[in-house]
Amino acid sequence: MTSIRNSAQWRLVALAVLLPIAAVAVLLIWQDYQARRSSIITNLELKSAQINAQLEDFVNTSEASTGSLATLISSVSPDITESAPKAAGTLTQANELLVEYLARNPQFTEVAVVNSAGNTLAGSRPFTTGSRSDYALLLGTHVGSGPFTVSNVFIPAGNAEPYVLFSYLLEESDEATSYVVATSLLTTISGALDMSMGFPSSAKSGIFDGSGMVLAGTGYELPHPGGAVGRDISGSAVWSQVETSPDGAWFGPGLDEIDRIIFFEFPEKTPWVTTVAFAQAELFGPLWQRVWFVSGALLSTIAGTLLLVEIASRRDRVAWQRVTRERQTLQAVLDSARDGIMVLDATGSVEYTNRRLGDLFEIPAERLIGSGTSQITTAFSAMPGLSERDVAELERILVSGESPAQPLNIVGSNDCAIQIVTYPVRQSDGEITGLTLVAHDVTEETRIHRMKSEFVGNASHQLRTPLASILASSELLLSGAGDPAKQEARLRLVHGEALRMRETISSLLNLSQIESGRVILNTQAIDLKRFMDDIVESATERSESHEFVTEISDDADTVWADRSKLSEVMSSLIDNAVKYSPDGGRVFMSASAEDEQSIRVQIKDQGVGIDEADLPVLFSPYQRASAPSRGLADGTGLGLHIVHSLVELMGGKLSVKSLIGIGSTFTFILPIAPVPQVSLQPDANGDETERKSFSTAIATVN
Amino acid sequence: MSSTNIVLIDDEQSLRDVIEEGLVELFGCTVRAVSDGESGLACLRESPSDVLLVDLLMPGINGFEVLERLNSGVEKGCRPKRVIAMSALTDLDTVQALRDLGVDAVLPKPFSLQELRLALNLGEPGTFEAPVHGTALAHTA
Repeated sequence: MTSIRNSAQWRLVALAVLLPIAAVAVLLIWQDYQARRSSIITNLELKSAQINAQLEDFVNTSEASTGSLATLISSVSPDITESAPKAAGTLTQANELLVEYLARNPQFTEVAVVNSAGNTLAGSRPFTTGSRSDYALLLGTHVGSGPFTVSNVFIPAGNAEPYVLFSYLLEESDEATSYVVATSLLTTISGALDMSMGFPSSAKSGIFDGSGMVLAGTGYELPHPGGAVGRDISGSAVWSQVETSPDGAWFGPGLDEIDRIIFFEFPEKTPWVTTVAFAQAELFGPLWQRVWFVSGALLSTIAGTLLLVEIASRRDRVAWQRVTRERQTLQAVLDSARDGIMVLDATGSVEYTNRRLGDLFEIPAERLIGSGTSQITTAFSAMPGLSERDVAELERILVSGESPAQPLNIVGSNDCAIQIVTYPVRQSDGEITGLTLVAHDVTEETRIHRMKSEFVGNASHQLRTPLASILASSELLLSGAGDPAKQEARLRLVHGEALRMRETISSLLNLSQIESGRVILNTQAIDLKRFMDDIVESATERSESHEFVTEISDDADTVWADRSKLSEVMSSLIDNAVKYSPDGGRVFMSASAEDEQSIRVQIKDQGVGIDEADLPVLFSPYQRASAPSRGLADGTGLGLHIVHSLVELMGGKLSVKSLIGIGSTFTFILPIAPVPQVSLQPDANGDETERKSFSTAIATVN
Repeated sequence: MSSTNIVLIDDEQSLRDVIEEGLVELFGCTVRAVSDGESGLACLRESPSDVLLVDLLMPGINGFEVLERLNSGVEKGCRPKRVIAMSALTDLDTVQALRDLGVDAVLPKPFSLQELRLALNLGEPGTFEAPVHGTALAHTA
């Protein structure tokens, strides 16, 4: 039996295929993520550099324009440094001209000329002439602390829009200093800087002050509490964090929407901060997409493979089930066999055994499956009925695989006779793949064979005895000894013995007829009283030493039967009664109505009786009651079987009651009117035991 | 020969009669013929006899039992010089059993009176010959 691969092995194969695929997929996703990430960062850095350049350019342009204009105006009006209007119209006019001119430049929100005390000399709204503006104060602060540079960011009170202040020293002297001041809203700057182009739509960019507050930007509210950015970066200042790792990518806590922050620094000027934030989705969106896609594909592959595995294993399972079922069927067939069967495979180990084998040899047959020759031999040699020669022969057969030249006859359990035959297991291509050993239980055959020999012996005895008389009588006659009366007696004896032989032969023929089912009945209504008279008359003729008593009830007038067969039945039963009764014994015959449809006839003797153990087989063919009670003298052993068969053929029933030493009573019941013909063909016979004995009889005759 | 004293046991009346007749009338023997084993043994006990002719299959005490009792029973001393078994059973087992019982010859049925005579005349005690069916006589050599 080759082993069938199970589904677990299929699953291993599937895993072996799937794991490398999964590993490759994960590797591809990781590489793709890295590539995207580095491309995005490169893009960001490039963009940041562009913005920085733009911003620097913007600042430089603003400073240049204010600076150049101031120089220009200063050269036109040398008195511009005067804090008080000396020559009305001249200086004031010049300052106002300057303001007007600068205000034309769209990048400046407000333009003014202030003196060092912070007083506005000329200006656009809200730089009111003569007033001291906050800007002016700031300027003053700056003036006092060193060279004044541009680009400080200011956040006005009341959440007004933040701006950048540009100023330029108009004229410096010991007494008074004047400045040109201009402001530009951060939104203006931010608008001038292309902070969004080239970024993905989800990108945010902005200008932040040192505390992290958003001053301008796309996607961020203005003014935005920079804390939202700054605070979230580990709770400490954005600057310090960034400065420690200005180029590093940030995936910190709270920054779940920001991939990276890039800072731009202008060391010579007020630090400007530009932050470009990416929605993580930009990076991870495709990543997740890919992950979903790949894992989806992977899952489909897994599912598909599992499905294939399942289908394959299901096919295996179905095949396995079929094999199992066939094996069980075969086992059931083997177990139902009456012969012990053992099948060996090509290697000589047991593939099948059946229950019967175990019974025959009293060995645990099922446990022999899979075991080799030596174990089988050991199991067999444990049997007491097996001689060493038998075991050796068995071993030789099993090892060589050759059929024994003659069937091996051995004695199994319960003294049953076993015949061992072997057959090669041949495949359709002729290859021999094993050996079938059949232990044929021939006990019954042996018994039947013995019975048959006994029967033949009996029958021949029945013929030989009268023949011996005939032989001796005829010799005496031929010798001429004795007077004529004696000679006649010898002739009568020869005649009588010849009749006896005819009787025996006729009963053999009768049996043969009954067993082949070829008995032809000629049934008719028989006047019972007259019939019985005839029977008694002939019985009296046959045996003068016995007394025959008949008793026929009035209600038993006719019976429906074949006259000659009924006569045979009666004669046979009467002769039996006579044979087993001592001389002078009485034989009682009675007939009465059993019921409205049948008649009961009894033949009763006062003979030796029949042993109770013999009763069940009394009507079987070739059975004769055992020697002690019945003697071995006469009879083919067929008489009662023929009687029984004939009674049944005529639609009746035969039964017997007997006690040793008291006598026997044979009773048969026959119908009064015709009944459907009963055939003794095996299939028409309802009685299982009867059928068995019948088929035994046929087997024996054959 | 005429003085040969024979005990004949056979349950089959006709055969018994005709054998007795033949032995007496043709061979001049003295015959005591009985129908069963017990009577036969009684005859043997009663007075000595030269030959026992015994049938094997009989009701009551059969031929084998008669032979057994002659070998080891109370009738041990009554054994005739020559014991001849008559039987329709001539299979090997039966013959072997008879040989073991010390039978001098086996007469297979049916036998002729001439064969019976041969069995009575020619036998030498202590030898045994198995019957061959169809031969004239199975007896000693």
